[in-house]
Formats: sequence, C-alpha cells, structure tokens
Amino acid sequence: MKDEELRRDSDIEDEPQSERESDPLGGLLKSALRDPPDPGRSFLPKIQERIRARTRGRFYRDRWSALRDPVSLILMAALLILILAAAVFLVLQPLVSAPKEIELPTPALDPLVIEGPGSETAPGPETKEK
Amino acid sequence: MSIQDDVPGEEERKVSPRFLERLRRRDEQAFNELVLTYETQVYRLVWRMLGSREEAEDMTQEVFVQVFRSIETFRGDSKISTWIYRIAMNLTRNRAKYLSRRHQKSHSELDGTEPKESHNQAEGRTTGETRRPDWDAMGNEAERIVLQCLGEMEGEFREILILRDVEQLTYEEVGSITGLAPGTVKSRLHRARSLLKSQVEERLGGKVS
Repeated sequence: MKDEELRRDSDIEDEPQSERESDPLGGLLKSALRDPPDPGRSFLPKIQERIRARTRGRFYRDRWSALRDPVSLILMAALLILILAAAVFLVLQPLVSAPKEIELPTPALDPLVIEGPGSETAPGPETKEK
Repeated sequence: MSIQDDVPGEEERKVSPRFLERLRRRDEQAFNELVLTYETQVYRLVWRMLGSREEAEDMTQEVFVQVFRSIETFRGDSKISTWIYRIAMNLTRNRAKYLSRRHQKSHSELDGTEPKESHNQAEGRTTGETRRPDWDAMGNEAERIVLQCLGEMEGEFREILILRDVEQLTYEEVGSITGLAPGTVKSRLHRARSLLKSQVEERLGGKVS
C-alpha cells in the first residue's frame, strides 16, 4: 500500500488554492465542522489540576503546599500530634492519678482457738480480762 | 514575555528560544501562556476528530498534560503548534480506537454476539464506527450526510481531510503531524476526497454542487 501511495505521489500535482476553495464538498465539510460547541471556560485550571495530581504536587502546588516544603509539613504534623497527645494526657491525668479510696467493711474477729496437744487457748481480749 | 518574544522577523507562531527554555525548565507561567494560546485550536481539532464535546474537553486537557511531560523532546525546529497537533493527533487516534472498540462491544452485547475485530483495527487503524453525538444534531441535511460519511471513513483518511480541508494546514504541516511524506499526504488526500465524494453523492442521490 505504501508503494502504491508513493507511485501516486508523482502523479498528483499541487492543487491550486482556487480549486480547493471552489470544491463544493470541501466547502460543505468546512461549514459542517466550523464551530465546535463552546466549552465555556478555559481548560487551564483543569490542566493544572491534572499536572499537580500526576506530579504528586511537584508542579502547580496549591497555596498550602506551596508555602511549605514536605519536611516542615511532616514536622508540623508530628508537633500537632504531640500537642494533641499532651492535651489529652492533661485532661485525663486527674482521673487516672487519684484513685478513689474504697472503704472495705472490717469483720469482727472471733477469738482464735487453737486446739492441740500442749496448746493453750489464745488469750482474747475478753479472756485476758478474766 | 510572550511566545514570540524578542525574535524579530521570526516566522509566525514559531516559539522563541528563550520561551522554549522556560518551558523546558517547567516554568509554570510560560506553560500557562502556552495553554491559553493553543487550547482553542487543540479543542477544535480534537472535537473535529472525535465529534463529542465531552471527549474533546477531556482530550484537550490530556494533550496539554502530555505537552508538559514531554516538552524537552521538542527541538524547536518546527512550529510548536505543529508539535502540539501531532501529540493531539496521536492521543486522539488512540482514543478513537478505544471508543470504537467500546462501541462495538456495546453493540455486540446488545446483539448477543461476540465482538469482532475488524481488519482495519488489526492493522492499527481506526474505522469510523465511533458514535459522534454532536454530529448527529448538526447543520442541514447535506452537512449531516457529509459528517456521517466522514465518521464512517477510516481514521487515516478522516484525519487528513480534517487537517487539510478544515484546518487548512499546508502539506508539510500535515505531513509533520501525521508522520507522512508530503507526497503521501497528497495522494492520501486525493483518495480521501474521492471516497467522501462518492459516498456523499450516493446518499444524496446526486452530484454535490
């Protein structure tokens, strides 16, 4: 097919401009495709957005990321987390460090009697009195 | 500083070395200027190739992303518009191929048949079997028939007709964009016009006048 095209090349002369302009089909084609629907706005913002996304923010960075380089951004995030953790700790600390004292009822002890060879009755408060 | 800055007598739309240097350094202001200068032309060309506003809008953005990514490959020998057009044409071909496949697939799903790959697709060319919603509702009867026939042509004929007869680029520019020798551009254009004419006349039932 390429050879066939090359052979034809020499046969076809440059068309005169007037011939092309007077070609009714060419005119019809041109008029049919003259006006695409108006996009209404520039494509620039969307193009910038795509470039920003594809270069992972290296180009066309937004205001926030343009102001700060990634290292300082990470440091700031770390600092923020620390501050947050400290705040949480301060709020929760009183609850954790002061445990509520629970008063347990003390049962009245009976005198302990130990029975056995050579054993004596342990002197209780009452028996001691006697 | 503009695209043609400080190069007196330079050919129209040829980019100045200084501006090109800024583009290569990925100067955002320079790139903005480039987009604002050529976005309408690219959008028009892409729309003429795809026939759908939505696709054309998306494709126009993609073209400039590609321009941004590969600006260092532009040597500055030709007009930057020609280079941008070449990128647009390559991306559009791929998109048209994709849309054509999708269109075939959805048709075959409706028909309950297996999607068939045409001979042209196997050769890497695109046929006009892509739906072009904007073209269905445009112009008068004759214009609609012309667009219908254009849409059904093989991609290689359609793009050459659009570049030459609608965009009115020179043979050299068309050759540079399509990667064809100017002689091949002429012969292909000749065949494309004959083909379009015969198809349009067949549908109109008479000669185009």
